[in-house]
Amino acid sequence: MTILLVSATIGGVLLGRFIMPATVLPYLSQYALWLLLILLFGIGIELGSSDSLGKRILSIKPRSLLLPITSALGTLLGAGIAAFLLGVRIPLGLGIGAGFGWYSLSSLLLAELAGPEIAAIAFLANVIRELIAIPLIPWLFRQNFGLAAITPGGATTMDVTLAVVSRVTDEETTLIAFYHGVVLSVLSPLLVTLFGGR
Amino acid sequence: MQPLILALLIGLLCGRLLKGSSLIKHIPAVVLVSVALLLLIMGAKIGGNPEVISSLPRLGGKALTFAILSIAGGILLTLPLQRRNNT
Repeated sequence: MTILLVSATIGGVLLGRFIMPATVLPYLSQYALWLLLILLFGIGIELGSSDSLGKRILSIKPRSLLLPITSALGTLLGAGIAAFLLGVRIPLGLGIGAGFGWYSLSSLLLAELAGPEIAAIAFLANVIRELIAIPLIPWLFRQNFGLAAITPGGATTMDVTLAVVSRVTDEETTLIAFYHGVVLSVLSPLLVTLFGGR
Repeated sequence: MQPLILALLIGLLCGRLLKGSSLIKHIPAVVLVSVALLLLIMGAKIGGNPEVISSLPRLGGKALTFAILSIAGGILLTLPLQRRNNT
């Protein structure tokens, strides 16, 4: 699965760079939304058709609901350290981290708030985060990292990396990953705006 | 974001209704293909954007540092939550 997804990404880059006419690009976003809807509809069907989903939801430990909090705080801590090491102003570094893998939105907001340089770093950093997450999530689950294995996906665990999580774990963890992605997707624009404007 | 949540909920309902149907076994392939296409589109957007490509040599290292430390931080702060969960 990982090989297929990584080659799809690389294939896309080559396609966009060398083959595809630039006029096609704006249409791609529309297709992307439909694909996202199909993706979540499909995962919904998988979850809904599994046995005892209700019991599994009830068996989710209340502590698991803290996952987006530890995930977000850890990301901001890491991004803060990165900013310090690289000589980027700390609040802007936190703004880059608060993209949580949602590269399109964070780079758009930061372009307005902090200028093109920070926006470009945010775009690349959050794309790279998603690309690292795709092979890393299955590996972390195999190494028994449990819920921590969800966190690399950031906000994308409600869509693209949710498919990765659902392949390598149980229904209960897939639901927690979706919840994690939704909470981070709500927090992301708020925090990016908060930090990026400073 | 709301359409996505709605799509998942409608999927859940359909999954309930289709339970035991032979249609279900094709769903994992549909999901995987849609993710692969999404990544293909993301790649094409990056590859087709000269500004992104030209900024890579200059900003790629910084971006990679942000990505790696952000991921590491999230994992590290979540590990204690996990351990307490196991006990």
